[in-house]
Amino acid sequence: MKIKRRERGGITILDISGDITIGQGDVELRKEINDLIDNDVRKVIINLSKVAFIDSSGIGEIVRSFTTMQKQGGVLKLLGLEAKVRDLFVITRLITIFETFENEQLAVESFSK
Amino acid sequence: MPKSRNLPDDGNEIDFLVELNIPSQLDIVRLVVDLGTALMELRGYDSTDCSAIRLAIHETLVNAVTYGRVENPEARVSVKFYFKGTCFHTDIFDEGPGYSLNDIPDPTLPENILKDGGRGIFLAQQLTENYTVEKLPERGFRVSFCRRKKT
Repeated sequence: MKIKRRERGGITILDISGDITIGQGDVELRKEINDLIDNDVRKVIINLSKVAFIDSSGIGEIVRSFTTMQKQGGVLKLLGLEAKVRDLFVITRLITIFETFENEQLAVESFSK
Repeated sequence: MPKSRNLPDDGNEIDFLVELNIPSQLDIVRLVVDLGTALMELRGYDSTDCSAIRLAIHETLVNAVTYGRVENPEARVSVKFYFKGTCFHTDIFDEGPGYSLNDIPDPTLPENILKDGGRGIFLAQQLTENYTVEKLPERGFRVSFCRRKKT
């Protein structure tokens, strides 16, 4: 798994590619979120459009990222959930917790509303 | 091969049995998951079925290798893949303490939904048919599940 960090309109976007599974990505994502918190970043989009496979550990790490950011007064939203990844968020009902977007522009603009 | 327990039984014989015996190590899970998924692809299951079984095998096997070695680091895990009628079956045997499906909290409940863990077996159950956990007479546990091919 790879994480590429970039900024757009004052929002930090994490482009994740590859699989997010136990021992392969979950730890890296935790480090990245902790680094953002340490650097006072509080508006984050995780872009999952290039994630082919995610397991319960990966989903758990995204939940942890969400709650960590929330506890620090931040907001974390999701972008580009591929159909099979979205299905897992529907089954676990996490789709009711996260704000999700298909379009990056709309995701970025949503922070200013 | 024992007769399937309460799994879907359409009267067909077990077909294309593959048996594996692996060390309880996380780094070998990917190979087994890839094999199971490849077998389904070989038989023409669609990508939805293959993705579902991929995750179910992954979650169940991660559980088996993680807890199967708690009491014995040298413990091994056995896996059986086979087809029966229109169903692709997976049986996973480990030497761990086992668990009851009734004891697994529902991760979709409000009090659990923001917890970091507790979704693996739930997802595997949701994505397969007849997900069962059975204590074996001598030692260990067997987890069985299947996925029916769409017609």
